[in-house]
Amino acid sequence: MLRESANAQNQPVDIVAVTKPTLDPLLPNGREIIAFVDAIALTDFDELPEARQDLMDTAGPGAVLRAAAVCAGFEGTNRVVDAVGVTVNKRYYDIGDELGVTVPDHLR
Amino acid sequence: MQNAWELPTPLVDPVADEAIQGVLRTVGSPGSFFTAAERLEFAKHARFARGLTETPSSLPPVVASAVARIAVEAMTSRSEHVAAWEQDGRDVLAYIELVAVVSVICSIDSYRVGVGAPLDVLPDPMPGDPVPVIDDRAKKANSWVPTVGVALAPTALSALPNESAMKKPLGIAFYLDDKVVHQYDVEPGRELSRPQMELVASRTSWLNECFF
Repeated sequence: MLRESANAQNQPVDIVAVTKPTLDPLLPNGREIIAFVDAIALTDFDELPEARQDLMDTAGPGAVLRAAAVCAGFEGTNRVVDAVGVTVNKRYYDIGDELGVTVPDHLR
Repeated sequence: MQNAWELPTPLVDPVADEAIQGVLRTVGSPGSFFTAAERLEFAKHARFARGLTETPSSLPPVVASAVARIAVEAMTSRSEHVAAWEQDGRDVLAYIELVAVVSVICSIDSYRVGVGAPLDVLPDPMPGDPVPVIDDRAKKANSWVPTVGVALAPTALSALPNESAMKKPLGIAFYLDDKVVHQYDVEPGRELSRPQMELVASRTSWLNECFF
């Protein structure tokens, strides 16, 4: 959905940055967004204050709020689909290959 | 300031706050298989397992184990865990209820962490016994639990309509209405652009080793 939404807006994006954060995702504030999401999802309270402040400084409090909200939404959804073993649609296998991710056997 | 993630002045979104309060009221109400007090214990134990509080619950071991696994390392879930749940004399549909409660409290707590706010106080439990509300059309398809139709993120909890409905307001307040999730050219006018929101979603899923 990242690629599709970027394409719909003619916005360049490097989706491999999702799995390799040394790369630039090419989106505005992309690096700051990734650092902030990492701090929330990994409950890294050492990194969180700086990551949040960096995103606040570059994109404003609204961006922090929305990034926290979207991250939180997927924190819930990810747990649901993993806990009940929803299999991964085969059409996503190619994207997995592109990102260097192998769908595990139990979700095929 | 009590917790490491808190800001002196937390960020506030009234729409999200209203959705959260509604969901917490539902968590604190009787479900299909569990009392309100039991559901609140799930929430309490999820917080403890994630290291957000220091207060453990008094749940039975098999239930506490399921809550902790889903709260902390849901990606390690396997069909064997669901089988063990059933071998313990529990209904697979009750497992769905547990997943629903744990997932929404984790979602709400992650939001509070992100915006620098304290965790919400859990409500007092509503009295009453559980009343099963089950969609009889649910059957096992492409997941370990029954679903109505193909199991996807929006339908994974569909065997229990009330649990599925509980989660929905959070999705809308935090992210997007299901109706526009796949309309990639729709820019919903949030504080981040649609591609920026999808970057958040993708990175979160990657960190959770989730393929959705």
